[in-house]
Formats: sequence, C-alpha cells, structure tokens
Amino acid sequence: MLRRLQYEGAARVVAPALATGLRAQRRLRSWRRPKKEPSEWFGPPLRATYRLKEVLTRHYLSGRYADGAVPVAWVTSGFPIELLRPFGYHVVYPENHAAMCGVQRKGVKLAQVAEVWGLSQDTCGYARCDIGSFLSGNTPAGRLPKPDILLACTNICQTVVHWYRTLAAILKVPVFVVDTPFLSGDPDERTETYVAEQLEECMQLCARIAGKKVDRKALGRVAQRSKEASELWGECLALSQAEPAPWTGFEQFLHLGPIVAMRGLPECNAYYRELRDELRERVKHGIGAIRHERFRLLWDNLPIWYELRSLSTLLAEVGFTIVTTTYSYGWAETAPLFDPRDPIVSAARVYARVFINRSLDFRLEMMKKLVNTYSCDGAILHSNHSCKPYSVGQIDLADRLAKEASIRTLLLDGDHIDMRVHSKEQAEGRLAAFMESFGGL
Amino acid sequence: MLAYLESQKQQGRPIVLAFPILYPREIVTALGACAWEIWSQPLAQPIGSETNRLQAYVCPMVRSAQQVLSSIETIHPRPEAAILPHTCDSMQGLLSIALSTPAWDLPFLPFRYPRGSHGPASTRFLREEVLAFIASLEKALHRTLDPDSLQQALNLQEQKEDRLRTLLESLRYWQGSDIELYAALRSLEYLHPHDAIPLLDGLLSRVDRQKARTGVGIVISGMIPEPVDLFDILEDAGGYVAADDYASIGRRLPSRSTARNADPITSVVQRLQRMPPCPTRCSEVQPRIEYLRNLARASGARGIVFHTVKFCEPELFDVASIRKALGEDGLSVLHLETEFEAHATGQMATRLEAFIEMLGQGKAS
Repeated sequence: MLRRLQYEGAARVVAPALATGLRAQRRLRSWRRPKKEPSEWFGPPLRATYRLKEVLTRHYLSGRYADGAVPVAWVTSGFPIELLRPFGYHVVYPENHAAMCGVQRKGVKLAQVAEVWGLSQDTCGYARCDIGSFLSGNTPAGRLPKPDILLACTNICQTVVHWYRTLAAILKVPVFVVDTPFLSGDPDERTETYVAEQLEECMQLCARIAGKKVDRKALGRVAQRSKEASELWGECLALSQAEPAPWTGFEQFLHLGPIVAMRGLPECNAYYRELRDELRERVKHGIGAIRHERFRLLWDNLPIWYELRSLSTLLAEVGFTIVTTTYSYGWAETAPLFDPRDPIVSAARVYARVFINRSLDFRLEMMKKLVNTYSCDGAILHSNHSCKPYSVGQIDLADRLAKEASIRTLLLDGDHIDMRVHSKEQAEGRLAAFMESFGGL
Repeated sequence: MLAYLESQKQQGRPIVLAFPILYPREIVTALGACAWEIWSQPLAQPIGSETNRLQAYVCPMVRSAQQVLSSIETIHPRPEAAILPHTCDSMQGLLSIALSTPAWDLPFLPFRYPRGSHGPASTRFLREEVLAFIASLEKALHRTLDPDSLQQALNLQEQKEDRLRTLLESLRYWQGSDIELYAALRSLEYLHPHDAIPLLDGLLSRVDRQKARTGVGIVISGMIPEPVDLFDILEDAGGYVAADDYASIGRRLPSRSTARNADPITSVVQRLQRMPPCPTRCSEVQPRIEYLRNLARASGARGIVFHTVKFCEPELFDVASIRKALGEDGLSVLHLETEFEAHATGQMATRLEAFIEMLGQGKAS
C-alpha cells in the first residue's frame, strides 16, 4: 500500500512538481543570464525538448517506486507493449535506458562492468551497458525497478533472446520470448498466426503475474491509442519534407523516447500533438533546424549516441542536415495496420512486419521511398558494430541505393554505444570527404 | 571431397549446400540428394574474387559462407540449391543478401527454427516450417517426396546417429589421436549417410573399452573443430577430448527416443526438438549448463574448453553464464576464440597448455 502511494505520488505529484520547478528554474536563468547569441549554424531549439524532459523524468521517477507497487516488465523496444497496459504494468525499456547512458557517455563504463562479469566486448553494446548497469547499480535514471517478468520480441534481432535469457538468469525472473520469424518475402498468414498465438499465450501469462483478468475492450482502447500515437509520430516525421526541415533526424532520435516507452498511454499522444503543432508552426514560418540548409541526407541504422552533437555540428556547419532516418520511420511505418477491433491479430501484423525483420529488397525500397519523399541528396549508413541485423547487408544497400536512387552514399563505421570501437577522427575525416564530394563547399 | 561429391552427382544425387546449423538433413536424403555442409572455407585455395560484402565484425563462418556463394559459378560439382537456416542475425543477413543477388544463381531455402518460448504454438509452427521446407526443396530439385522414402531416410539417419552417439560416448576409449578422429568426423559434413555409416563403423572398431586413455580429459564445446592442430597441442600438453559439444558434431545429435511415430513428419519435428541445447536455437542457458555438466560428469572430464568463433554472439552470451555456473561447481573453463586461422595461434597454444597443466595438477580455476 505504502509502495503504491509512493509510486502514484512520484508520478502524479513529485514529477509534475519537479517539472514545474525545472520550468521555473529555466525562466529564472533566462532572466538572469545575458541573452545567448543565437547559434550560427542551428535554428532555435524546439520548445518540445523541454516538455520531453518532463515527460521522461516523470516516467523514470515513478519507475523508481514501481516494484512492489505495480507489476513491472522489462521489454525490448519492438515488443507489443499494448498487451501490458490493461494490467497496469510499469514498463522499462533497457534499450532506451542504454541509449540514455550512451548520450551521457556513460555506456563504456557500464559495459566494462559486464565485461568483467564475463560478457565479450563483441556482444551488443546495449546489452553490456544494461547488464553492467544492473550489476553495478549505477544508472543515470536513479534506480530501475526490479522486473517481475522480462519480455522480448525477436522482430528487432535475435540478440535480444540471448540478452534477456542472460538477464533472466541474473535477475532470477521469468522471461517470455515472442518470436516473429524473419520475413524473407511477403508477409504470410501462417507466420502471423504463429505470432498471434504467442501474443495470446503471453497475455495470459502477464495477466496471471498481475493477478488480473484479461480485458479485451481495454486492450482495444490501448491499441487505438497506439495507432494514434504512431500516426502522430508519422505526422511529425512527415513535416521534415518541408524545406528547410523544421527538425533534424538526430532530434528525431531523441524525441523517439515516448513512442518507444509510452505507447498506449494518453500522455504519449498528448506529447506528440504538442510536438506536431510546434513543428507545423516552424514549417509555416520557414524556421529550419539548421540555418543554411543546402543538402539533405538520410541516416540508416541507430545513431552514434555519444556523437550526436558533434556530428550534427559537423554537418550543419556546411549546410547538411539529416532529414529522415530509417529507424525513426520504423515507428510510424506499420501504424495503419493496427486494428483496435482485433488487437491481437493486428498486433501480430504490426510487429512482425517491422522493416528490420524484412528482406534487403524491402529495406532498399523503403529507403528509396524515403529518399524521394524527403528529397534527399545523399545517405549515411552507419555500419554499427553492435547491431548485426541492421548492419549486415549495408554494403549492398549503400551500393544499390547510390545506383538506383542516384544519390551519394557513405558507409560510416561506428557503434551505437561503445566509443572504444569508434574512431572519431577517422569518421569525421570520411564524413568531411563525403560532404566535399557534393561540391560547392 | 569434391571428387566424392562429383561421384554422388553422377549417381543421380544432386548436391545441396547447407549452411550452419540446423535443418532436417533427412529430408535432403529422402529426396535423393546429398547435403554438403559449409562450416568454414571448404577448399584448400581461397575462393571468391567478388568484393567482400560483409563487414569485418561479422563472424568468419558467415564470411566463409559468403565467399562460397560468391564463387558459386566456379564450384564443381555445381550445387542445385542452398539451405540457409536462421541461425543468427548474421546468417539471416547473408540469406537476405543471397536472395537479392541475381548473380548467385541458386534457389535459396530458408529454415526458421522457432525461437520463442517453446509452447504449443512453436511446435505447430515448426511442423509448418518443415512442410514449407519440403515444398521448396521439392521445387528446387524437381522431385517429389514420398512418405516411404522419408521413413527410410529417417531410419538411415538414426543408424548413423546411433553410431556417432556411441563413438562420442566412448571418446575416453578411442585408440587414436584426436586430430585423426576430428578429420574423419568432419567428412560427415558431406558424406551421404550410406557412406557415413561404414566410416563410423571403422572408427568404432578402434574403440577399446579395456583401455582408457590416460591424461586430462576435457569437454570441448564450440562451433567447429578448426584449426585442427589445436588437438595436437592438446595431446602434447597431456590432454584429450573426453566429450564433444561442437555445434557441427555432438550438438546435432538428437537425444534417444523409443517413441515410433506413424507419421514421419512428426518424427522430423520431434528430432529437431530433441537436439541438445544450443544458443542458435535460442535454448535457455540453464538446460545447457546442465547438459554440459552431465557431459563432464559422464566422461570424467576435468574441465571445459569453449572453442568459439570470433564475433559469434549466441555463443558469447552463453559462455559468460556457463562459466559462472560451472565455476561454482569447481569445473574449470577455458575460452578460446578462433577466426579460422590455418594454425592455432601461439597465444591459443600457450593458454591451452597452461590450462591442461593446471587441470593435471588438480587445481580449480
């Protein structure tokens, strides 16, 4: 009971109060400090970024008190989270958490804890970072609640199975894996039936752990909200078709937080409405994310979290901007498939058909579509040591995209979290040469 | 090897390439074909003039597979189809590349073992996947599978496996060198079961239960026994392989079953499900720990050597947990990584020698 009060209090009282305090502090600072010169390269910052901090602070703050108050699940980013919402689960996304560690450049230190424990440096950096965080108790989120269950879905990679099984052994909690077999060709009914059967099985298990009954009407309402959230996210992304683009692909990575971690919750949709409205306003007034947009790029694969700022600046200085990314688009792509009247079967479709679970030809077509829709002049494909399913095939993709979409492409070596396998100088050198090839610099 | 495969082709058995790890081999046999498994670079001379299409951080098994596919036009006897199971993200990525490369002119057959929580839905899906696999292999070979042929192939496969199982359970009494044993066992990657059975009988004739091997017995686990001179180093250091858990050998032997199914497809499905725990099938870690613990106990092994392939994520996750659990039992574990070098590296040799020496002295790690 006390734990529940702490959890609700953190979410409903402390976090909003903290947000109000942060806003007040920001205002106070802006009065006291001399007005900052506007950036030479970047447009004015998005107001929604502050709101994003509030939303995520609330999520992580309440999470500190979640275990013992409500059922807690740790889930992979591509897991059909809708199943859990009607049971009142608090959901933790280890991948989001690892990304947060990456942005704050804490990833390597945490990964090293996992390496001392026994994990090889050749395993996924997200996994090492999260396992290291758990083993050391060190997290920028303050504290992560202990899960009652681990839920993984293979639609993003097979690594999550190994990662979550390892976590389950450490945490001594059950793990349920929803398998979404790889779609080498067109989606087929037997694969999607298999996924739907597993979702049903998983939902029953989650109900038992939560001590609640399955409420299919409530599940339908959650599916409706998820559909809307994905559509809103899609609208936000689509606004970058404008020239100049009102936000960059790197900003999109940061604003992905709610669509990944809070899908199915009303506050997720409220947040994206606010973001969309601000982006619309920027488009209306011709406000660009960078001041002098000259060339527009597509980014493939996860970001290099610890280099977001430096890469953005390097690009913006010479008028380059990332206007679209395959990863951000992935969260909007299958939204139309959600059917609130048939949430399980439609979730099977939505989650089995994510682009990373599809063939190289499918991915190439999707990238060509993005290049055309967003008027891209080039593409950067981040060859990510940590992420095999995203990276294997990129050598072909870079080559074919260049030929078939008539754009310049660059394969940029890096890692989404492990700074030790990323050579900053070499990457910047390659990027500079790539940009020079566009001429007129 | 190539001469053998050529003779198979001349006998009317088309060649089907099979990439690691798990697929129902008995179906290939039942369709009158010969499976040629590609676990590493199969030919003495490196092949493949085409540009490398995989990053350096992709495991050497998958890179070898790509090299073979890149040179498909130059390989004789020419294969009729290639099986690419969803073993890991990298192998799956290679299948994607293969399917989008017209120059690799072969029918590519996926095989997706269910990776989920192994409930009833998984069994249903596996059965459907086996049926889909049969349909695509029939199409590729222009042949039709009849239930009798499948039953005969199953019987043949089981006879082969019974012999292999007996041999692997008797490694302590093997009268020969490990390098010789593994060279022979690797030929199972391409031998038709008809030819594999006499080979295994020959090997079994060299097992003498009255004469146990002396030295330090170890369990060896990993993907493939390569580089082979590792076994010379092991032997020179006073060790020998007492039990095998290589994915290419012992880890593909289904556990014994007395159940007889009227339906051969059910047998195929159950055989796949009865394989020893393997991370590439997304098995849980705990059963694998138990399995290795039992292997060590039954064979009298004093330690375990994990001989994994560089960048192999499924194995690398498991090794960490297994090492912890077995270490608590007092069973020493050594982890060696290979990139399919022609010879074991000096570092590999030194570590293996030191490990055997330590086990010989009866010290726990």
